[in-house]
This record gives sequence, structure tokens and C-alpha cells, in this order.
Amino acid sequence: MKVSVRIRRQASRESKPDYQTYSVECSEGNTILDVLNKIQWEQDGSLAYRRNCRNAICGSCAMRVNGRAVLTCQNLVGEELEDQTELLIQPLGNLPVIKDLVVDMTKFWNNLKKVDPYVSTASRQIPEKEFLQLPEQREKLQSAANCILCGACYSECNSAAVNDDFVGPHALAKAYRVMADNRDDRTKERIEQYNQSGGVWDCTRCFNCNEVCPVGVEPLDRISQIKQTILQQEKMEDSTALRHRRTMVELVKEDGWIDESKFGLKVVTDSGRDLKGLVSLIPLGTRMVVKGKMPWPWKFKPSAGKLEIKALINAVSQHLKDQGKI
Amino acid sequence: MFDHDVLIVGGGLAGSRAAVAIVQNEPGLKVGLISKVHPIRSHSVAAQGGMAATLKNVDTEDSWLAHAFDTVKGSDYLADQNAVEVLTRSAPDVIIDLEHLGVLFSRLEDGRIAQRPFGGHSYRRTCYAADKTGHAILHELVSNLFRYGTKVYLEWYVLQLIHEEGEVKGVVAYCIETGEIEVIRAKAVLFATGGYGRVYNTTSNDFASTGDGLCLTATAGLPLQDMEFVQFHPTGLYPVGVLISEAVRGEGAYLINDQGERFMANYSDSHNKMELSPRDITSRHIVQEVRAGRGIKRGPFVHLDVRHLGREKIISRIPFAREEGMRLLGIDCIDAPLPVRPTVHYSMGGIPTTVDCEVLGVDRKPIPGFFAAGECACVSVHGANRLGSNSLLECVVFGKRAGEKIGAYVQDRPMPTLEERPYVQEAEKLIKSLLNKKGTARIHDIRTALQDAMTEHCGIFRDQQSIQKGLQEVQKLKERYEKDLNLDDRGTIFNMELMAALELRSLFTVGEMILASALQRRESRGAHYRSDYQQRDDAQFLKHSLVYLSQDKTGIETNTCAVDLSLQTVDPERFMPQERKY
Amino acid sequence: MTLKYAYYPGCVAKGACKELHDSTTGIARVLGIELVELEKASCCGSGTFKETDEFLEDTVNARNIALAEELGLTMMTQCSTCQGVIGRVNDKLKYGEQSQRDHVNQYLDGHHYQGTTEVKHLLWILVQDYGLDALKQKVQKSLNGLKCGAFYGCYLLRGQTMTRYEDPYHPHSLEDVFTALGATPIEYEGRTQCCGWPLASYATNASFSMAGRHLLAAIEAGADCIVTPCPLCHLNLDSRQPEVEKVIGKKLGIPILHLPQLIGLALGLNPEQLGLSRHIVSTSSVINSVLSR
Repeated sequence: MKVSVRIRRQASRESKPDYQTYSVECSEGNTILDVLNKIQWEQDGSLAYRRNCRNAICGSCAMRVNGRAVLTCQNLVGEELEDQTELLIQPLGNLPVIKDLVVDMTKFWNNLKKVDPYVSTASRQIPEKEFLQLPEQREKLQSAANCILCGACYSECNSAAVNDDFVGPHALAKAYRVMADNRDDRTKERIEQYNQSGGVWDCTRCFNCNEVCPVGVEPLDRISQIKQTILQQEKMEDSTALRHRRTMVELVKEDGWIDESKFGLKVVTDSGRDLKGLVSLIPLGTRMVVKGKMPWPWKFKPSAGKLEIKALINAVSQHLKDQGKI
Repeated sequence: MFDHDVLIVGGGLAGSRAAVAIVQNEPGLKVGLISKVHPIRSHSVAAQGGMAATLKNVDTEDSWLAHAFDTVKGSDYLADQNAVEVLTRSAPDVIIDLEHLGVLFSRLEDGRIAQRPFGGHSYRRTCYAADKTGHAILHELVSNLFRYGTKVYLEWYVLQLIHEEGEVKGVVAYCIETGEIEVIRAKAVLFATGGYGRVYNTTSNDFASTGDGLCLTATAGLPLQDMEFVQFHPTGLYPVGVLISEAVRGEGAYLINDQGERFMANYSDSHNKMELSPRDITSRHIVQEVRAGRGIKRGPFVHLDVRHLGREKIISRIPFAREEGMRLLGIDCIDAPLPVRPTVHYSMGGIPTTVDCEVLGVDRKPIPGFFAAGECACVSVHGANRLGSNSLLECVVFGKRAGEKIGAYVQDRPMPTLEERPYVQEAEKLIKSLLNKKGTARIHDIRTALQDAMTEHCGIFRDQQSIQKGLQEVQKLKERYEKDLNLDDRGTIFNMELMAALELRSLFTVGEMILASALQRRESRGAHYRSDYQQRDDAQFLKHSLVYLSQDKTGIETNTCAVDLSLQTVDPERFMPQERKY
Repeated sequence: MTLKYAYYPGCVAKGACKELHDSTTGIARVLGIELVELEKASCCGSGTFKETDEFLEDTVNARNIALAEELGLTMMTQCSTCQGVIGRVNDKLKYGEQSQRDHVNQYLDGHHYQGTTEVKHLLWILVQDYGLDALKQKVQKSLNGLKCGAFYGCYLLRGQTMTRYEDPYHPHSLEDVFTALGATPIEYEGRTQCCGWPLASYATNASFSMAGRHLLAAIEAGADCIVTPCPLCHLNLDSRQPEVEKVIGKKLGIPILHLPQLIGLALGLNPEQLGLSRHIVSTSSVINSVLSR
């Protein structure tokens, strides 16, 4: 079949991007990478992109196809054309373009380095034989360890798009992989480190990373696991992000539904203790009062099932406590 | 000009392991690593099955000597036994090293590293990480490169090995992103440049496996060894060529012909080990089945069947193989067999080295400043045929060894002196001449013609006539390349076509070296099967072949050197060359 | 046949975005959709319960779903986040192992999660159950000429992986609704992306930059207003729009409508009744353009 392929071209870092359309003879079972190769080999040798293993393991060939990042050696033409009439191929997002579909991944690698992405055994007695690791201890690292560092998640990350400090889903998935490794001896420092600005709390939970990850890392779930570990720490310095989570549980336990004004005061102003937080809420509050939008506490109606919910959350909390989880 | 104490070319398992070894032992040294792809994209990452070592976690009666024997026998007695001894004795330690670095090996119930059977190995000694072993190891090694802040020349291509006055002084390198040309000078250069699967038309290797390091070495006037031994892995997924890991047969898969037979039972050299026979034997039998018209529906492939293993085992033990079938062919191996045929997988030959990774010249003396390790090197631990699970092992054992050796070696070696300008000028001339190619032939067409010629004339079966035909065709294609090549891209920013043109030079050189070596070895041994000389001939050919450019660099010369048989003193009965039976 | 649903209002529609509850119940009346409110339900946790522990999210929402099951009705949500969170739990428990359901049920005192119902957003109820043709029939005031940009919300598109109502990167149900109402859909980059709300309480710069990018893109694409099926997106895009303007250094002033408000206008409901005056960014341009027809 003939397929129309629209590719974003850019001659250099400074050049203006442009789109070029190619017509390619291929079959539904061809991968997107096959199509790119056909273009480069048979039609236009000037097209630049990265590729290597063509077997979904080296991570070179991630690009945006029809609007989201994929491994081009993994996705098939037939699947892509199920509801689209042409293939639209663009470079990964959130990274500067070097040429055509090739992006500069320096920031991606530097962000990875920031989480200290190696298992540290420096302070442990190094045995002559292997460290023991039970199959179930290894199993919980598997999905994070599947990561091929292709950059698909980073490309679609909403937080990385606006926040220069955010290390990104790939780095945090790796962070979980090393933090949760029973052989690593820096768990405590890592928890502190990932709790900092640029770490897990800067993720906005948009699910893009889970959605596009070609190898089942599900970075968002790994980020959640780091957050769980942080929230389990008793002696963690308080922060708005932590209060946000804890207050949610507290208020739902009390009333079933969230009393938003109470939530705002508790989380942002630390129950009035954080003056800066309090001041930051004033314009919003004023606006809401003026527009009749203010969720006044006296207008709030708890759920009719609030006692049941309280009992439920208490029982679940007890269960989690028994398991040493909170 | 950039200066380094050590420059490592290639960032796969051998190169990364060497870099880590150097910084761990000699943190003061200035190490550079140069690679045309990001190290984490190197082909090592695709290795699936595992890495052999006599940890004795499963089979307690295993021993390094047993591992050595399996390796020597698998090599059809062409492996150097001193090198095999180093390989197999070091194996347990290097595995433990990797484990301490954080590699996620699959585990036994009690938490020790798991070990499984593998073709050609007489005990369960293959350590693995599900079926992504290379990935598991390389990612931890590269993380450690990050950890130690190793300088990496990312996406730089080496144009020339600087070999003058009998020593190696550095390389001339080309930055793919910017087109910048630099001389990188070093007290020691380590080649860890991998294999050359792309010389053939069906290969499990990645696009980058173009034998650049071998070509650079040969072009510098240095010899290559045992180049005729090209390993075809029996189970390349048809038609794409990507690998279905040997681990799949390790777990009990069947090879089935069109008549529904497990045909390995019908051959005398494979009826005992069946599907777990060594790769050369298995590959030949698949081709023989196909030639006899017993390929599936008379096509060029047979079936690899795992259905009897059951869903659970397939999902837990060989998930990647299943995923490959589904992704590339839409076949779920839980329900249906996978079509397979042999695919070029590994290069037994390469740059001859001592067991300390020092590169040997034509006169068999080490070249000062030059080292090689991994697939590009020929120590030789694989001889005429490599056993599965021994290549990752080779990379790590000799990568580490090279790092340790070089770390000590450069301590009292001064920075070599060289004149930079002529090298830069020559490189500029080369690049310019390629960018000015205005003929009619596309690179892809010439490359495909070369790959087809090599596959046709020097594949699993070869003879004098076919090899000579191959040499003629390569000559013709080289002329076409010189006279009629055309490039669409004449820029210097990430010019992939220029890269392809440079890599095609490597393919030509490596192809010629394979053909020339194959021609002079008039016997069949391991992966080298001559239809016109079907027997092994120890009297004449129990020796390594050497191949190199003539002094004036216009012709190719060959020579031979002896095989080390030193383990005969330990166990004469087993290590004395004998017929290879399984 | 009357369509009848177990109505899960969510926190925000009963508080800061009360207009959402009013407009949903308003259009339901006109369309003849019967809503039985789940009075005993609780907050879904908006994705943060999982960050304490997944089991907390599972049990709390299994209980919510069980309340709908007890009525023998499909649960209707009107918030992308509620939909994504509760729908995800339903997917997980419904299609997962029996042991998971048993474990959850141990904690649901007096209720029993069975996995017999669906969790469905108002948007999909309109598109799939009610039907766009039927909706078209009910239009009193065509929104002809009104250019609407959709803002879907992450959880609606990507929260659930088992039950998929549409392609997370090429959704069109909101645009289809716009067309049915006579309005013109405006496509722009960002309509499937994050509004920034989850970060609004602490990473305000990042949060408002996200909102700003998308609002700007919609304006540049020519949208008169943005329509969202998510009250949390609404909070960040509307209530915080003045802060968003400050962060990106540009005037925006684009009205943000809840989906049922837009439908309500087309059905001829009174803007006041739809709570269109309760917005931070004035909706009068939209109201005027509709009423002037």
C-alpha cells in the first residue's frame, strides 16, 4: 500500500522547521522505522533520525508519531493508520532539535545523573559471593528495570515542559529502581533527595509517561511508590506537598467529601501558620467571594455516609500500619 | 587536539567495563570513551540469553575446567586454551563484580544468582536476567560511567587509527553532530568496537555493527585473525533476522520441519543434544532441511515451537521472545510456532590479542599503545565457533582485564608525540571527497548488493568457486562506490548518509578479509563449512589464520599462527584435539 | 426508555464549582435523564490516595462503586479526575484476581463490591447512551458561530487503561458534542494535556505555566471559550487565570465553561441557572453571542 508520511524537517539547531511529505510503498506489518528507513534509503538520504537495534531494546528510535512519542521500531504502520490517514512524524518533545528527528538529549542524561542512578554498596560489607536478593525482592524492581532510556516519557511530560528543575519520569523511575533495591545502602539519603524540589512532588500526574512508555515501566506508578515511601517517614520535614496528601486523607476521613476552604487553609497556610501561604490565598479568596464562588465552611455538607467512611479509612490505616506501610 | 591517558573506542560491555575498571583502580587517569552511538545504545544491550560462569549455585559439580572443556570443544579446538583458561577461571569473579555493581540477575528461591542450561554447556551455569541480560548489565555499567564522570565523546566516529613508528598514538575522530574533526591523542587506545553483522543481509546485529574497528585496524596495516569464522545463530526470526534467544531452546523449545519432525534427531552430530546442540551445527541443519525441501511450506525457514512449555513458563521465562513474535509478526508463541532461520550473529575472529588484550602485529609482537577487547578482539576464546553465554562473559572478563592492564601500562608510558596537521588534512580531504560524490548509485543499493554477495558466496556453506566469485563482486562494488556513488546530503550536521558511506568502507574491508581468510582455509571447522572440503583437517589447519593488507596496501596477504593447547598439560585426554561429537 | 444513573457529584461540584452540579442536574432534567445522587459516597482522593497507599484508593472507591451497584445503576461522574480514579479502580478490581476483590470487600462494612457496574463520565453518557442525534434534537439555541476549544483533562483520557472510551491522543467526543450543538470545534495543541491543577497548591509557577501554555494556544487557534468536563481543570483555568496571566506575562481573559453549561445554553437554559455568573473570567461574551442569535 502507498502511505503518505509527513515529516518535520529542520536543517540545524537554528533553522526554521518545515514539513515534508513523502509517499512510501509499504505494508501494514512494517514498523514506522521500516518506513523511515525506506525514505532514507530510497528517496531522501538527507533525512536524519536515530535508530539502532530495531528490536525495542536499545532505545534509540523514539520519536513522536501522530502526536505522541513511540518507539518507531515497535509501532506498526497498520496500527497507526487505523484512525489516521497519514503518518505524522516529529522529533521527541521537550528536547532541542539537532536536525530533523534527532534531538539533543543532554538534559535527559544530566537529569538522570541527578538521581545518582547506581546501586550504592559503598558502606556495606562487600561479601565474596553475591548479595542475596530474593526473587520477590527482585520482582518489585522489574518494571522500573525494564527502562530502556528512550526518552518517550520525557518527551510527553507536562511537568518537564514547564519546569526546568524537574528531573523527569525516566530519572524517577530509575530512582525508584535503585532506592527499592535491597542491596542499596543509601535509601535514607535518597528519600531526602527525591523529596526535594525537582523530585517526585513536581510530577503533575498527567499519565502521559505511563501511556507512552514502550516497555511497561509505568513511571507514574514508580513515582507514586517513591511518594509512598516518603509519606511513610515519620521524621520528614513538613511541606505543602506532604500536607496536601495528608490533609486529603484526614478530611475525607472526617467528612467523606473535601471541605475545600478547610483544605486550602490547612494545606497552603499550614492552618494559618504559614503567613506567606495565607497572603498568597487572599487574591483568590477575594475573587471567589466577589463571584459568589467561595465554598464557605458553613455551606459545606459532609457525606451522609461519613461515619462509614471514617470506619473504613481507620480500618485500612490500621491494616497498613500492621504491614509497616504507614 | 585532545589528550587522554586512555582512549576507549566503543561503549558496549567491553568498553564500559574497561572504563569502570580503570577509574576504580586508577582514579587519577584521564579516560576518554568515544562512541558513534550513546554507550547505552550499543549492541551489547540486545544480548538476551546470559553469561556462563561456574558459580555452582545449581550444579555443584561444575568446574572451570568443565567450562573450559565445553568452550574448547565448542570452538572445534581452535580456541587458544590459555585464553580459555583465563576466561573460565575469571568468570565467577566477574559475575560477582557485576552483581555488586547492582546488576539485577535472576535469582534462585534462596536469593542466590540463578543459573540455567545453555547450548553446548554441560552444566547449568548460565547466569541471566530474564531474557534481557545484556540490557541489565549494560545499564548498570553505563550508570557507573555516569557515576565516575567518565568523559564520553558522544556520537563521534573514528576515521583513522594513528599507527606510526610501530606504535599507536591515538585516533582521528569526526563529530557526527557538527562535522568537527579532531585528533585525540592517548598513551593507550582500547578498541571495543564490536562486530560486523551488517556485512551480511540477514543479521541479528544492530545497524551500528559495521566492523569499523576491524577496518581501522586492517587499514592501519595490522592483521586480523580467524575472520572466516562467522557465527550464524540458528534462530533468527524470519524474515526480519532479529534473534530469538537461545534461552528459548534452553527452556525446552523444539525445532520442527514441515513434516512436523524434530529434525535435529536425524543428524548424527545433533541427535544427542537435539535443540541444544551448538550453534554452527544447528544452523547447518536448518539450512539442510530447507535445501531438502522440508522448510515450512517449502519456504526458507523452520518452526521454533514452545507451545508445550505452557503459558506460565513462556510468560515468566521468555517474555521478550514472545513479545518479539507478537510485535514483528503478530504471532503469539503461546498459540503458534515461530518461523526461524539462521541469522548472522557473531564474529569469532577479529583483532588478535594476547590474554592481556595487547594487540599483536603481523610479527606476533604487541603493538605499543594498542589494546582490544570484546567481540572485535580475537584472543581467541571462541576459536571456530562460540558457545552461547560466552560472549557477554568475554566482554566482561577481557574488558575488565584490559582496564586493569592499561591502568598499569600507561603509568610509565609518555604521551606520544605526533604531528596533528597531516591527519586532520587527510580526514578533511576524505570527508570532502565523500560529500562531493555525485554519481548515480544510492548507498543503500551498493550496500545491499555487498550484503547479498557475502551471504550468497560466503554464508553457512561456501567453496572455492563461490568465495572467488565473492571476491570479484566485492571488487566491482568497490569500484562502483568510488566512481558512481551519490549522496543526497552534502551538509555536515548529523549527516547519516555520510556515516553510511564511511561505514560502507568498513563493510567492504571486513567482507574482503572474511573472503580471503575463507579461501585459504581448505577444511571445515566450526562455523566455517567448505562444501569442497567437508572434513576438519588438523594436520594442515589446526592453526589460526591471519589476514592483512600488503605493505603497499593494494593486496591482501594471509598467514597462520599456532593455536595454544596448554590445557593439555592439565587434562591431556580432553584437551587433545579430537572429533567434536555431541 | 429513560436513562437512569447513579450520580456521583464529587467534592468540587458541591463546593467551589457548584455551578457544575446545577448545570448537570439542569440539563439532565431537560434531556430526561434521571439522576439518583449517591448521598453516601465519598471523595475519590483525586489520585493522591494512591500516593499514601494503593489499597486506600482501592477500598474507598470500591465502596463508592458498590453504592452504585446496590442501585443496579451505572455510576455517572462529571469530573475527569473522579472518572479516571474511580474508573481505574473499577477496571483493576473488575478484571483482576478474585483475591483482590475479596481483600477489598473485607473492609467494606455493609457493602460489597461485585464488579457489575460501569463508571462513566457524563460526556460519554451523552455521546454513547443518549446519542448525539438525540441531543441535537433538543437544541433550542444553536451555538452557531461559537468557537469552542475542548480541554479534556488527563484522567479522563489516560487514567483508565482497560476501559477505553477514546484514543487518549486523538479524542473527539467533546468536539462531536460541540458540533451537535451547532458550535465550531477549535483544535489546538494542549487540549489533551494537563491544566496544572495537581501542583497548584505548592508548585504554583509550574502549575500556572502549564495552564498558560494551553490557554494561549487555544486563543491563538481562535477559540472564543474553552469547555471542560473537569471541574479541577476549571479551577486552574478559570479561578487561577489572573495568576496564570501573571506567570506567563500575557493577558488571557478566555472564558472557561463546564461541559453541561455549554449544553445548557444550547438547550435554552437560563445562564443564571447554569451558574455562568459564578466564574472568575466573565462568560458574558459567550452568553451574549448565544443570546444574540
